[in-house]
Amino acid sequence: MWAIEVRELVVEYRQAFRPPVRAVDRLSFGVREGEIVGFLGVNGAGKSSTIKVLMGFQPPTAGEVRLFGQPATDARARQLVGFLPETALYSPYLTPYETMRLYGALQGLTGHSLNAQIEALLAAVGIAPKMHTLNRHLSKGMLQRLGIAQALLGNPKLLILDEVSSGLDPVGRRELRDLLRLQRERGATIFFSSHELGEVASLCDRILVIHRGRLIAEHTLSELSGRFESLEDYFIRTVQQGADALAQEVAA
Amino acid sequence: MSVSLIQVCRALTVAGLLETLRRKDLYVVLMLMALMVLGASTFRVFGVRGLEIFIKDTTFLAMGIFSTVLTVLIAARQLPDEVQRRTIYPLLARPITRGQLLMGKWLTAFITAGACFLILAGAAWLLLLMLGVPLKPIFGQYLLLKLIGIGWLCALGVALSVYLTPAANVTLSLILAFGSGLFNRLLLMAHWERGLDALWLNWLYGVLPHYDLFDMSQKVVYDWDPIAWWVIGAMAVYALGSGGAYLLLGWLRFRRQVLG
Amino acid sequence: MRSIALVLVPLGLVGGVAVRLALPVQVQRADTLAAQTLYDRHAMVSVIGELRSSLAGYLWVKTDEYTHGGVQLRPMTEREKRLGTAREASSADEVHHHEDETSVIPEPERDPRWLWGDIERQVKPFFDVRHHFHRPVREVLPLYRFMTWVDPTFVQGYLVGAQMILFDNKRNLREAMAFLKEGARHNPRSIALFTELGRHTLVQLGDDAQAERYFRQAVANGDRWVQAGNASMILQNPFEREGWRDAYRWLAILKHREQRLSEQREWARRGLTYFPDDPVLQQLARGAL
Repeated sequence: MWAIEVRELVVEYRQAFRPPVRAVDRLSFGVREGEIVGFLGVNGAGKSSTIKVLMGFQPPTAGEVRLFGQPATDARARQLVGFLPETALYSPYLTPYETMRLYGALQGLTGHSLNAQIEALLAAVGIAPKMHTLNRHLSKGMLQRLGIAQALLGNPKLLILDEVSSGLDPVGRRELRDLLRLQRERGATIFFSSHELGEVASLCDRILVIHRGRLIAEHTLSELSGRFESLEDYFIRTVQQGADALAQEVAA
Repeated sequence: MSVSLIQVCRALTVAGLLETLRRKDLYVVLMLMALMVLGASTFRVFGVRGLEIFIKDTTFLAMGIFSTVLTVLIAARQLPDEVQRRTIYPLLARPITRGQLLMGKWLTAFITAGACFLILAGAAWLLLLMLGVPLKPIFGQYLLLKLIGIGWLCALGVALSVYLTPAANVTLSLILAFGSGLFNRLLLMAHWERGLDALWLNWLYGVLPHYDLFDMSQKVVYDWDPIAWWVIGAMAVYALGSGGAYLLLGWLRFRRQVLG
Repeated sequence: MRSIALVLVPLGLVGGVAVRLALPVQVQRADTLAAQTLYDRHAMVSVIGELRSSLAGYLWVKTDEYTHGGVQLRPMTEREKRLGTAREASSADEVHHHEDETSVIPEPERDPRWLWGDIERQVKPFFDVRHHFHRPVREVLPLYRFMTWVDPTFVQGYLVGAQMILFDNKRNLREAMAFLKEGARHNPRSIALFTELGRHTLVQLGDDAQAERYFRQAVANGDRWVQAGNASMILQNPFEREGWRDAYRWLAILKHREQRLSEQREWARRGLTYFPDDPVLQQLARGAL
């Protein structure tokens, strides 16, 4: 079964007195349940716009997006999803524990099970000792860990993570990889964007590369092994070829 | 598992209350108010006696202004703060609708601002008691009507925050709150001086905000008798009707708004 | 208005105390070259002085509201006066009458608002202006004490405050005179305060000689304003203008009582140079009373 289905997705941003900017252009892809898929692209490629539509934060200009067969805008679809936004600054006047309680309650979790989950997750991301310190006293890396913890509340079937390793130190990245592997082992589907290609290589089953809003490549990691020096080498060449192809298409 | 509106409201309200108490706004306002009331009362030391009405007037003036400013600030920052910090995304990533979030934010603002007002009122009451200036039972009606007004003002502030930047929202809300008495007076003058038709006048009167009608502080200051309860009922109906309309307008935009 | 007052009240209180301790009060009002220079050169003196004046002005406005138990009155518009569509504020016994003033919140029968008007009349202090009441004057007196304490150069506070002391009890002449004398001490260049002192001395105490000294002081102060080239400034102040005019009137009347008619005419003529349209002075100038 498909955890994510994206068909002919178009995202445009309207501007006053100017033609709209097309951030995503007829994008189609799917992610099967249990897969870990890396979503790659240079800055401004359309990754965050795609993720916003996946999460129902904004309606698509055209096309269709479904999560577990339900429209992405349906609140019920989000019951199964954990989401990490890119660099969120969690309320400076709450502690990590209170932040987790807020999101847990909004997830429909209550009582002892919520408390147990909060303590376990904060310990898993390594900020249990700071769980009663105000968020404003936490470093950027710690806030990112808090973000990861809140995304894991309620053991979601699908994790959508935007720039997942942003702000994390090397130790934090390793811990994150271990944590995501654990999630996979329990059967979660993971769809994430990252600029850390080493991380992508070590975690993913498959990668999707988009450029200027279009899908320009889709490979499993086994397809790539031996053909390129590194994932970075593959990514740069793919993006370059994709850019040339798009330029030719425009010229034609 | 679906999340009920009550659950959403409770979760957001607890977090909102904690945030507000940890900000310094309320304490600053409390200190300013105490300074004003005690400042007014110090004139007894210099031989000016019999200033009970002046002290009461100053207290209720301070309470009215500070509670209104606090309410507007609290309501105006509910949604924009989440967008600015990008925490709107983990909120909306939960199985809740945007309508539930908007209602939750309104209730958070209402309960938080209402609690701040009651703290201010309690402090003012204690200060006045200490100064030997007792308040009559009409004070209870004043508190109730003002709380209803705070709920109404929160609806206005939360709805405007969907359409305007926080600074523009605060400015407009304060103008509408403090200027409502003036607008109403101008309408009456337009009727008497320029012959504005009574039907038009009443229609415009219904559309324009009436925050001034939630404030019966002057009756408390001058020790008038309690007012008829139907008035408080009528103002509650007005607050529900127009506050609900503001929230509906806010929701119509917020449900499709591109955030961030 | 209220928010401005809110800012001004605490600042005025703190500033008033500070300046009171730091500077002689007479320099607060720029009626001499030295004071003007101080006023212009020292920002703090200027700002704090203005704050004190503003606070006193706010309290002045409040006295009317306090007198009417929070009910706000307003001047009638020309149209209302012409068409008689608004009612003048007066008490049933006609003791308290406010010419050309009506209530801000209208009576039910001339209110075009439906339910809104009824609600406002309940929520805000309201009475029918035709049967309006005054709270005991005693409750307002502290405000006059307060406003003149905050701004000792607030002449009208002393003038009306003294009147209110007498309204409260006619036997309080000594307190009223003491209040006026305090005002005169803080405002030695005021005209109206000396005229008022003279009036009470003449009418209540019957001390013609002392009254004349007060009236002469008032007139001398007026002349000083003229010599300083500030006659228009003093004429713009209704309290001082009226006091100046009355000083001439009273001096002429005093001379009439003493049967020194040429001096009567002389004082009246001198008054007419500043108040040529005043019918009382014109009459006194003809030697009549």
